[in-house]
Amino acid sequence: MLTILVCGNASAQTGMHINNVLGGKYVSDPSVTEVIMSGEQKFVKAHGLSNLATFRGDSETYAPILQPLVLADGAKSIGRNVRYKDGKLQYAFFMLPVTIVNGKKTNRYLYYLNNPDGNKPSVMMIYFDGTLSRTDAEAVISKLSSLNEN
Amino acid sequence: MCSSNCKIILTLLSLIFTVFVARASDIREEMPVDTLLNASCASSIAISYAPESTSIQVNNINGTDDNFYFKSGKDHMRLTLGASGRTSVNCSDITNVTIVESRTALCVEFTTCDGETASYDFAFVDPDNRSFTSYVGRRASDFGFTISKTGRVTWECVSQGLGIGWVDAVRENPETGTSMWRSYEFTWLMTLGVRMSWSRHHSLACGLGLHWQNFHTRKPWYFHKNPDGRISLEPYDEGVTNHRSRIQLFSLQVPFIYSLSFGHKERVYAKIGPIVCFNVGGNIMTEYDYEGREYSIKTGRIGQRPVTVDGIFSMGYGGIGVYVRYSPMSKMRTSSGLNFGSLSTGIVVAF
Repeated sequence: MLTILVCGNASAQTGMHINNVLGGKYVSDPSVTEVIMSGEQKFVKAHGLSNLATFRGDSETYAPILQPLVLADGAKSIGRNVRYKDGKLQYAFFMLPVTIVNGKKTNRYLYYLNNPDGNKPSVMMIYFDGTLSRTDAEAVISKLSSLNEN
Repeated sequence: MCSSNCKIILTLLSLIFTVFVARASDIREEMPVDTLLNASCASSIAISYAPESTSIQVNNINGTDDNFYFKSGKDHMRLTLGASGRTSVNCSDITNVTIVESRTALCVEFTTCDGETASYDFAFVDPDNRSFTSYVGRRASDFGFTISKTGRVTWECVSQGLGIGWVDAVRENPETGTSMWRSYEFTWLMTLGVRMSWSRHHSLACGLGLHWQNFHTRKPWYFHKNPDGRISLEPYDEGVTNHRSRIQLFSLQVPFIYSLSFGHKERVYAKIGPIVCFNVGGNIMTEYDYEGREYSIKTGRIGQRPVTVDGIFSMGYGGIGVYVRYSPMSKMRTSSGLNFGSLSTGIVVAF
Protein backbone atom coordinates (compact mmCIF):
# COMPACT_ATOMS: atom_id res chain seq x y z
CA MET A 1 0.00 0.00 0.00
CA LEU A 2 1.30 3.43 -0.77
CA THR A 3 0.03 6.83 0.11
CA ILE A 4 1.92 9.89 -0.98
CA LEU A 5 0.77 13.43 -0.45
CA VAL A 6 3.19 16.03 -1.65
CA CYS A 7 2.31 19.69 -1.39
CA GLY A 8 5.60 21.47 -1.06
CA ASN A 9 9.35 21.24 -0.80
CA ALA A 10 11.06 19.32 1.94
CA SER A 11 14.01 21.63 2.26
CA ALA A 12 14.97 20.84 5.87
CA GLN A 13 15.10 17.22 4.82
CA THR A 14 17.48 17.79 1.95
CA GLY A 15 20.71 15.86 2.11
CA MET A 16 19.52 13.32 4.63
CA HIS A 17 20.31 9.65 4.18
CA ILE A 18 16.74 8.57 4.84
CA ASN A 19 15.73 10.17 1.55
CA ASN A 20 17.16 7.06 -0.09
CA VAL A 21 14.10 5.06 0.93
CA LEU A 22 11.52 7.77 0.46
CA GLY A 23 9.92 8.95 -2.72
CA GLY A 24 8.28 5.76 -3.90
CA LYS A 25 11.34 3.55 -4.28
CA TYR A 26 9.61 0.61 -2.59
CA VAL A 27 6.05 1.27 -3.70
CA SER A 28 5.74 -2.06 -5.44
CA ASP A 29 5.89 -3.84 -2.09
CA PRO A 30 2.37 -4.11 -0.65
CA SER A 31 3.77 -4.21 2.90
CA VAL A 32 5.15 -0.69 2.53
CA THR A 33 3.25 2.37 3.63
CA GLU A 34 4.84 5.68 2.84
CA VAL A 35 3.38 9.07 3.62
CA ILE A 36 4.93 12.40 2.77
CA MET A 37 3.14 15.58 3.75
CA SER A 38 3.93 19.24 3.72
CA GLY A 39 2.31 22.56 2.97
CA GLU A 40 -1.36 23.05 3.78
CA GLN A 41 -2.28 19.56 4.91
CA LYS A 42 -4.61 19.69 7.90
CA PHE A 43 -2.55 17.36 10.07
CA VAL A 44 0.66 19.16 9.22
CA LYS A 45 -0.74 22.58 10.05
CA ALA A 46 -2.49 21.40 13.19
CA HIS A 47 0.77 20.18 14.71
CA GLY A 48 3.05 23.01 13.62
CA LEU A 49 4.87 20.85 11.11
CA SER A 50 6.54 21.92 7.91
CA ASN A 51 7.31 18.45 6.58
CA LEU A 52 6.36 14.97 7.57
CA ALA A 53 7.59 11.69 6.14
CA THR A 54 6.76 8.24 7.45
CA PHE A 55 7.84 4.87 6.16
CA ARG A 56 6.55 1.58 7.43
CA GLY A 57 7.39 -1.82 6.09
CA ASP A 58 8.10 -5.42 6.89
CA SER A 59 10.73 -5.67 9.62
CA GLU A 60 12.80 -8.45 8.10
CA THR A 61 13.12 -6.71 4.75
CA TYR A 62 13.38 -3.07 5.69
CA ALA A 63 15.08 -2.93 9.10
CA PRO A 64 18.51 -3.74 7.54
CA ILE A 65 17.90 -1.00 4.99
CA LEU A 66 16.56 1.67 7.34
CA GLN A 67 18.88 1.11 10.29
CA PRO A 68 22.14 2.35 8.74
CA LEU A 69 20.36 5.31 7.17
CA VAL A 70 18.74 6.33 10.44
CA LEU A 71 22.00 5.91 12.35
CA ALA A 72 23.89 7.92 9.76
CA ASP A 73 21.44 10.79 10.07
CA GLY A 74 21.30 10.38 13.84
CA ALA A 75 25.07 10.70 14.10
CA LYS A 76 24.65 14.43 13.53
CA SER A 77 21.95 14.82 16.15
CA ILE A 78 22.14 17.03 19.22
CA GLY A 79 19.94 14.69 21.21
CA ARG A 80 19.53 10.96 20.91
CA ASN A 81 17.77 8.19 22.74
CA VAL A 82 18.63 4.77 21.37
CA ARG A 83 18.12 1.19 22.38
CA TYR A 84 19.49 -1.96 20.83
CA LYS A 85 18.04 -5.41 21.13
CA ASP A 86 19.99 -8.48 20.12
CA GLY A 87 22.46 -6.28 18.29
CA LYS A 88 19.84 -4.53 16.20
CA LEU A 89 18.53 -1.04 16.64
CA GLN A 90 15.13 -1.44 18.26
CA TYR A 91 14.24 2.13 19.07
CA ALA A 92 15.75 5.52 18.33
CA PHE A 93 14.69 9.10 18.71
CA PHE A 94 16.96 11.83 17.38
CA MET A 95 16.70 15.57 17.74
CA LEU A 96 18.60 16.83 14.73
CA PRO A 97 20.39 20.19 14.62
CA VAL A 98 18.13 23.19 14.13
CA THR A 99 18.08 24.63 10.63
CA ILE A 100 16.85 27.94 9.32
CA VAL A 101 14.20 27.64 6.63
CA ASN A 102 12.73 30.80 5.14
CA GLY A 103 14.15 32.74 8.06
CA LYS A 104 12.44 30.51 10.64
CA LYS A 105 14.15 28.21 13.10
CA THR A 106 13.11 24.70 12.20
CA ASN A 107 13.39 21.82 14.64
CA ARG A 108 13.89 18.40 13.12
CA TYR A 109 13.12 14.99 14.61
CA LEU A 110 13.77 11.44 13.49
CA TYR A 111 12.09 8.43 15.07
CA TYR A 112 12.67 4.74 14.43
CA LEU A 113 10.96 1.70 15.89
CA ASN A 114 11.64 -1.87 14.90
CA ASN A 115 9.18 -4.44 16.15
CA PRO A 116 10.25 -7.79 14.70
CA ASP A 117 8.42 -9.93 17.26
CA GLY A 118 4.81 -8.78 17.00
CA ASN A 119 1.93 -10.32 15.10
CA LYS A 120 2.81 -8.05 12.21
CA PRO A 121 6.59 -7.63 12.36
CA SER A 122 7.22 -4.13 11.14
CA VAL A 123 9.70 -1.32 11.17
CA MET A 124 8.67 2.31 11.20
CA MET A 125 10.57 5.50 10.55
CA ILE A 126 9.15 8.97 11.03
CA TYR A 127 10.84 12.21 10.07
CA PHE A 128 9.29 15.59 10.68
CA ASP A 129 10.33 19.19 11.05
CA GLY A 130 8.71 22.45 11.99
CA THR A 131 8.44 24.96 14.77
CA LEU A 132 7.12 22.40 17.23
CA SER A 133 8.84 21.83 20.55
CA ARG A 134 10.26 18.58 21.84
CA THR A 135 7.13 17.90 23.91
CA ASP A 136 4.93 18.52 20.89
CA ALA A 137 7.16 16.15 18.93
CA GLU A 138 6.44 13.45 21.47
CA ALA A 139 2.71 13.90 20.95
CA VAL A 140 3.07 13.78 17.17
CA ILE A 141 5.05 10.56 17.30
CA SER A 142 2.61 9.00 19.68
CA LYS A 143 -0.28 9.90 17.41
CA LEU A 144 1.46 8.73 14.25
CA SER A 145 2.52 5.49 15.88
CA SER A 146 -1.03 4.69 16.86
CA LEU A 147 -2.28 5.64 13.39
CA ASN A 148 0.27 3.37 11.80
CA GLU A 149 -0.72 0.49 14.03
CA ASN A 150 -4.30 0.68 12.80
CA MET B 1 44.81 -15.71 -25.84
CA CYS B 2 41.34 -14.25 -26.12
CA SER B 3 39.94 -16.97 -23.91
CA SER B 4 42.64 -16.26 -21.32
CA ASN B 5 41.81 -12.54 -21.31
CA CYS B 6 38.13 -13.31 -20.90
CA LYS B 7 38.90 -15.51 -17.90
CA ILE B 8 40.98 -12.75 -16.32
CA ILE B 9 38.22 -10.20 -16.93
CA LEU B 10 35.59 -12.55 -15.55
CA THR B 11 37.73 -13.25 -12.49
CA LEU B 12 38.23 -9.52 -11.91
CA LEU B 13 34.52 -8.84 -12.31
CA SER B 14 33.78 -11.67 -9.90
CA LEU B 15 36.20 -10.21 -7.37
CA ILE B 16 34.72 -6.73 -7.73
CA PHE B 17 31.22 -8.14 -7.35
CA THR B 18 32.26 -10.12 -4.27
CA VAL B 19 33.85 -7.04 -2.68
CA PHE B 20 30.79 -4.96 -3.55
CA VAL B 21 28.40 -7.50 -2.02
CA ALA B 22 30.59 -7.83 1.08
CA ARG B 23 30.69 -4.05 1.42
CA ALA B 24 26.92 -3.81 1.07
CA SER B 25 26.55 -6.50 3.70
CA ASP B 26 28.91 -4.61 6.02
CA ILE B 27 26.76 -1.51 5.72
CA ARG B 28 23.82 -3.50 6.99
CA GLU B 29 25.58 -5.35 9.79
CA GLU B 30 28.12 -2.94 11.25
CA MET B 31 27.21 -0.16 13.60
CA PRO B 32 29.08 3.05 12.84
CA VAL B 33 31.21 4.67 15.49
CA ASP B 34 29.18 7.56 16.77
CA THR B 35 30.88 10.74 17.95
CA LEU B 36 28.59 12.06 20.65
CA LEU B 37 30.78 15.05 21.51
CA ASN B 38 33.81 16.69 19.96
CA ALA B 39 34.58 20.00 21.68
CA SER B 40 37.71 22.08 21.82
CA CYS B 41 37.14 23.13 25.43
CA ALA B 42 34.71 22.92 28.32
CA SER B 43 34.53 24.36 31.81
CA SER B 44 34.14 21.00 33.54
CA ILE B 45 33.37 17.32 33.18
CA ALA B 46 31.67 15.05 35.68
CA ILE B 47 31.49 11.31 35.23
CA SER B 48 29.48 9.26 37.65
CA TYR B 49 29.68 5.53 37.24
CA ALA B 50 27.54 3.13 39.22
CA PRO B 51 26.58 -0.46 38.46
CA GLU B 52 22.99 0.52 37.74
CA SER B 53 23.77 3.35 35.32
CA THR B 54 26.41 5.83 34.26
CA SER B 55 26.07 9.52 33.63
CA ILE B 56 28.37 12.12 32.12
CA GLN B 57 27.97 15.87 32.09
CA VAL B 58 30.24 18.31 30.27
CA ASN B 59 29.53 21.97 30.97
CA ASN B 60 29.95 25.06 28.81
CA ILE B 61 31.03 23.37 25.62
CA ASN B 62 33.28 25.56 23.50
CA GLY B 63 32.66 28.49 25.83
CA THR B 64 28.91 28.51 25.22
CA ASP B 65 26.00 27.92 27.58
CA ASP B 66 25.45 24.50 26.06
CA ASN B 67 26.19 21.38 28.08
CA PHE B 68 26.54 17.76 27.12
CA TYR B 69 24.54 15.09 28.95
CA PHE B 70 24.82 11.33 28.72
CA LYS B 71 23.03 8.63 30.63
CA SER B 72 23.26 4.91 30.06
CA GLY B 73 20.35 2.56 30.29
CA LYS B 74 19.46 0.35 33.19
CA ASP B 75 19.65 -3.39 33.80
CA HIS B 76 21.99 -5.17 31.47
CA MET B 77 22.52 -1.99 29.47
CA ARG B 78 24.80 -0.44 32.06
CA LEU B 79 28.42 0.37 31.55
CA THR B 80 31.32 -0.99 33.49
CA LEU B 81 34.77 0.34 34.20
CA GLY B 82 36.33 -3.08 34.34
CA ALA B 83 35.43 -3.60 37.98
CA SER B 84 32.39 -3.41 40.17
CA GLY B 85 31.77 -0.45 42.47
CA ARG B 86 31.30 3.26 41.96
CA THR B 87 33.55 5.76 40.24
CA SER B 88 33.36 9.51 40.14
CA VAL B 89 35.46 11.79 37.95
CA ASN B 90 35.33 15.57 38.22
CA CYS B 91 37.67 17.87 36.34
CA SER B 92 37.62 21.58 35.47
CA ASP B 93 38.95 23.61 32.54
CA ILE B 94 39.41 20.78 30.09
CA THR B 95 40.23 20.83 26.39
CA ASN B 96 40.00 18.48 23.40
CA VAL B 97 36.98 16.63 24.70
CA THR B 98 35.77 13.66 22.69
CA ILE B 99 33.11 11.17 23.64
CA VAL B 100 32.63 8.35 21.18
CA GLU B 101 30.20 5.48 21.26
CA SER B 102 31.08 2.28 19.46
CA ARG B 103 29.28 -1.04 19.42
CA THR B 104 31.14 -2.28 22.47
CA ALA B 105 32.15 0.73 24.52
CA LEU B 106 31.94 4.40 25.30
CA CYS B 107 35.27 6.20 25.11
CA VAL B 108 35.78 9.50 26.92
CA GLU B 109 38.96 11.45 26.32
CA PHE B 110 40.04 14.95 27.30
CA THR B 111 43.06 17.00 28.26
CA THR B 112 43.23 18.36 31.79
CA CYS B 113 44.32 21.88 32.71
CA ASP B 114 47.74 20.37 33.55
CA GLY B 115 48.12 19.23 29.97
CA GLU B 116 47.67 15.54 30.76
CA THR B 117 45.47 13.38 28.61
CA ALA B 118 42.76 11.50 30.48
CA SER B 119 41.07 8.58 28.81
CA TYR B 120 38.26 6.36 30.09
CA ASP B 121 36.83 3.36 28.30
CA PHE B 122 33.48 2.13 29.53
CA ALA B 123 32.63 -1.24 28.05
CA PHE B 124 28.99 -2.10 27.64
CA VAL B 125 28.17 -5.17 29.70
CA ASP B 126 25.73 -6.34 27.07
CA PRO B 127 26.57 -4.50 23.84
CA ASP B 128 23.78 -6.13 21.86
CA ASN B 129 21.18 -4.79 24.28
CA ARG B 130 22.60 -1.42 25.15
CA SER B 131 20.67 1.81 25.45
CA PHE B 132 21.58 5.36 26.23
CA THR B 133 20.47 8.96 25.97
CA SER B 134 22.67 11.91 25.09
CA TYR B 135 21.91 15.54 24.51
CA VAL B 136 23.68 18.81 23.80
CA GLY B 137 21.77 21.77 25.16
CA ARG B 138 21.22 24.03 28.10
CA ARG B 139 19.16 21.73 30.30
CA ALA B 140 19.01 17.97 30.49
CA SER B 141 15.26 18.18 30.98
CA ASP B 142 14.95 19.58 27.47
CA PHE B 143 15.54 16.06 26.25
CA GLY B 144 14.35 14.16 29.27
CA PHE B 145 11.78 11.87 27.75
CA THR B 146 11.47 8.49 26.18
CA ILE B 147 8.77 7.46 23.77
CA SER B 148 9.50 3.77 23.91
CA LYS B 149 6.32 1.79 23.59
CA THR B 150 7.63 -1.38 25.21
CA GLY B 151 8.63 -2.12 28.74
CA ARG B 152 8.55 1.44 29.96
CA VAL B 153 6.99 1.58 33.40
CA THR B 154 7.13 4.67 35.55
CA TRP B 155 6.32 4.92 39.25
CA GLU B 156 5.32 8.08 41.06
CA CYS B 157 3.76 9.21 44.32
CA VAL B 158 0.33 10.75 43.87
CA SER B 159 -2.47 12.35 45.84
CA GLN B 160 -5.83 12.49 44.12
CA GLY B 161 -9.59 12.29 44.27
CA LEU B 162 -10.84 14.93 46.69
CA GLY B 163 -14.59 14.73 46.39
CA ILE B 164 -17.93 15.69 47.84
CA GLY B 165 -21.18 13.98 47.02
CA TRP B 166 -24.62 12.83 47.98
CA VAL B 167 -25.22 9.39 49.38
CA ASP B 168 -28.25 7.18 49.75
CA ALA B 169 -28.79 3.92 51.57
CA VAL B 170 -29.77 1.04 49.31
CA ARG B 171 -31.11 -2.43 49.97
CA GLU B 172 -32.32 -1.25 53.37
CA ASN B 173 -33.72 -3.72 55.84
CA PRO B 174 -35.53 -2.32 57.70
CA GLU B 175 -36.19 0.88 55.80
CA THR B 176 -34.23 3.82 57.23
CA GLY B 177 -35.91 6.48 55.15
CA THR B 178 -32.58 8.04 54.27
CA SER B 179 -32.74 11.28 52.31
CA MET B 180 -30.13 11.43 49.57
CA TRP B 181 -30.53 15.19 49.35
CA ARG B 182 -29.66 15.62 53.03
CA SER B 183 -27.10 12.79 53.22
CA TYR B 184 -23.64 13.64 52.05
CA GLU B 185 -20.15 12.27 51.97
CA PHE B 186 -16.59 13.55 51.81
CA THR B 187 -13.87 11.49 50.31
CA TRP B 188 -10.17 11.83 49.69
CA LEU B 189 -9.78 8.81 47.52
CA MET B 190 -6.01 8.68 47.74
CA THR B 191 -4.42 10.91 50.34
CA LEU B 192 -1.13 9.36 49.41
CA GLY B 193 -0.55 6.62 46.90
CA VAL B 194 1.67 5.13 44.26
CA ARG B 195 0.84 5.17 40.57
CA MET B 196 2.31 2.84 37.99
CA SER B 197 2.03 4.04 34.38
CA TRP B 198 2.98 1.84 31.48
CA SER B 199 1.91 4.20 28.73
CA ARG B 200 0.56 7.70 28.27
CA HIS B 201 -2.95 6.34 28.53
CA HIS B 202 -2.97 3.62 31.15
CA SER B 203 -2.05 3.54 34.80
CA LEU B 204 -2.78 1.72 38.03
CA ALA B 205 -2.75 3.40 41.41
CA CYS B 206 -2.99 2.20 44.97
CA GLY B 207 -2.85 4.16 48.19
CA LEU B 208 -4.48 5.17 51.42
CA GLY B 209 -7.45 7.52 51.61
CA LEU B 210 -10.19 8.86 53.86
CA HIS B 211 -13.96 8.60 53.64
CA TRP B 212 -16.82 10.07 55.63
CA GLN B 213 -20.50 9.23 55.07
CA ASN B 214 -23.49 10.81 56.76
CA PHE B 215 -26.87 9.10 56.38
CA HIS B 216 -29.71 11.46 57.39
CA THR B 217 -33.19 10.12 57.76
CA ARG B 218 -35.95 12.21 56.24
CA LYS B 219 -38.71 10.64 58.29
CA PRO B 220 -39.82 12.04 61.64
CA TRP B 221 -37.81 9.28 63.30
CA TYR B 222 -34.46 9.14 64.92
CA PHE B 223 -31.81 6.46 65.09
CA HIS B 224 -31.65 4.90 68.50
CA LYS B 225 -29.13 2.43 69.89
CA ASN B 226 -30.84 0.02 72.26
CA PRO B 227 -29.13 -1.58 75.27
CA ASP B 228 -28.74 -4.86 73.32
CA GLY B 229 -26.78 -3.05 70.61
CA ARG B 230 -29.56 -3.09 68.07
CA ILE B 231 -30.32 0.13 66.26
CA SER B 232 -33.93 1.03 65.71
CA LEU B 233 -35.82 3.98 64.30
CA GLU B 234 -37.98 5.63 66.92
CA PRO B 235 -40.54 8.44 66.56
CA TYR B 236 -39.80 11.78 68.20
CA ASP B 237 -41.79 12.79 71.26
CA GLU B 238 -44.61 15.27 70.98
CA GLY B 239 -43.40 18.89 70.89
CA VAL B 240 -40.00 18.14 69.38
CA THR B 241 -39.06 20.53 66.58
CA ASN B 242 -36.06 21.16 64.29
CA HIS B 243 -35.09 17.54 64.58
CA ARG B 244 -32.56 15.61 62.58
CA SER B 245 -30.82 12.31 63.06
CA ARG B 246 -27.97 10.71 61.19
CA ILE B 247 -25.51 7.84 61.14
CA GLN B 248 -21.95 8.82 60.40
CA LEU B 249 -19.33 6.35 59.26
CA PHE B 250 -15.64 7.06 58.91
CA SER B 251 -13.34 4.81 56.92
CA LEU B 252 -9.72 4.48 56.05
CA GLN B 253 -9.79 3.27 52.48
CA VAL B 254 -7.35 1.48 50.23
CA PRO B 255 -8.37 2.05 46.59
CA PHE B 256 -7.03 0.13 43.60
CA ILE B 257 -7.70 2.38 40.64
CA TYR B 258 -7.19 1.80 36.94
CA SER B 259 -7.05 5.01 34.91
CA LEU B 260 -7.52 5.56 31.21
CA SER B 261 -6.58 8.93 29.75
CA PHE B 262 -7.42 9.97 26.23
CA GLY B 263 -8.44 12.88 24.04
CA HIS B 264 -6.61 16.16 23.61
CA LYS B 265 -3.38 15.97 25.62
CA GLU B 266 -4.88 12.99 27.45
CA ARG B 267 -7.00 15.36 29.49
CA VAL B 268 -10.12 13.22 29.40
CA TYR B 269 -9.96 10.44 31.92
CA ALA B 270 -11.97 7.55 33.25
CA LYS B 271 -11.14 5.70 36.45
CA ILE B 272 -12.54 2.54 37.90
CA GLY B 273 -11.66 0.18 40.67
CA PRO B 274 -12.50 -1.45 43.98
CA ILE B 275 -11.95 0.21 47.34
CA VAL B 276 -11.31 -1.70 50.53
CA CYS B 277 -12.78 0.28 53.42
CA PHE B 278 -11.66 -0.16 57.00
CA ASN B 279 -14.58 1.33 58.87
CA VAL B 280 -12.78 2.54 61.95
CA GLY B 281 -15.40 4.94 63.25
CA GLY B 282 -19.15 5.35 63.44
CA ASN B 283 -21.69 7.21 65.52
CA ILE B 284 -25.29 8.31 65.68
CA MET B 285 -26.10 11.95 66.25
CA THR B 286 -29.60 13.23 66.94
CA GLU B 287 -30.36 16.93 67.35
CA TYR B 288 -33.68 18.57 68.17
CA ASP B 289 -35.34 21.46 69.94
CA TYR B 290 -37.72 20.78 72.79
CA GLU B 291 -39.48 23.38 74.90
CA GLY B 292 -37.15 26.09 73.64
CA ARG B 293 -33.94 24.20 74.37
CA GLU B 294 -31.55 22.57 71.89
CA TYR B 295 -30.52 18.99 72.44
CA SER B 296 -27.73 17.03 70.79
CA ILE B 297 -27.21 13.35 71.58
CA LYS B 298 -24.25 11.44 70.18
CA THR B 299 -23.87 7.68 70.48
CA GLY B 300 -20.74 5.72 69.55
CA ARG B 301 -19.91 2.03 69.06
CA ILE B 302 -22.82 1.55 66.72
CA GLY B 303 -21.61 -1.76 65.32
CA GLN B 304 -20.44 -0.88 61.85
CA ARG B 305 -18.92 -3.68 59.79
CA PRO B 306 -15.12 -3.41 60.14
CA VAL B 307 -14.23 -4.12 56.50
CA THR B 308 -16.32 -3.51 53.39
CA VAL B 309 -15.54 -3.29 49.70
CA ASP B 310 -16.90 -0.52 47.47
CA GLY B 311 -16.62 0.10 43.75
CA ILE B 312 -16.02 3.49 42.19
CA PHE B 313 -16.21 4.89 38.68
CA SER B 314 -15.31 8.44 37.79
CA MET B 315 -14.70 10.40 34.67
CA GLY B 316 -13.80 13.94 33.92
CA TYR B 317 -11.72 16.44 32.06
CA GLY B 318 -8.55 18.04 33.30
CA GLY B 319 -8.70 18.38 37.05
CA ILE B 320 -12.40 17.92 37.68
CA GLY B 321 -14.88 15.13 37.24
CA VAL B 322 -17.87 13.27 38.55
CA TYR B 323 -18.03 9.92 40.30
CA VAL B 324 -20.39 7.15 41.22
CA ARG B 325 -19.61 4.92 44.16
CA TYR B 326 -21.47 1.77 45.14
CA SER B 327 -21.18 -0.30 48.24
CA PRO B 328 -22.82 -3.70 47.78
CA MET B 329 -21.95 -4.89 51.28
CA SER B 330 -23.95 -3.95 54.32
CA LYS B 331 -22.39 -1.11 56.25
CA MET B 332 -23.55 -2.53 59.58
CA ARG B 333 -23.07 -5.78 61.42
CA THR B 334 -26.00 -8.18 61.55
CA SER B 335 -26.16 -7.71 65.32
CA SER B 336 -27.01 -4.03 64.84
CA GLY B 337 -30.33 -4.91 63.27
CA LEU B 338 -29.64 -2.57 60.34
CA ASN B 339 -28.73 -3.76 56.91
CA PHE B 340 -27.99 -1.31 54.13
CA GLY B 341 -25.44 -0.60 51.46
CA SER B 342 -24.86 2.75 49.83
CA LEU B 343 -24.91 4.49 46.50
CA SER B 344 -23.31 7.89 46.14
CA THR B 345 -22.47 10.38 43.43
CA GLY B 346 -20.70 13.69 43.42
CA ILE B 347 -17.90 15.90 42.19
CA VAL B 348 -14.28 14.97 42.43
CA VAL B 349 -11.16 17.05 42.00
CA ALA B 350 -8.38 14.94 40.54
CA PHE B 351 -5.28 16.94 41.26
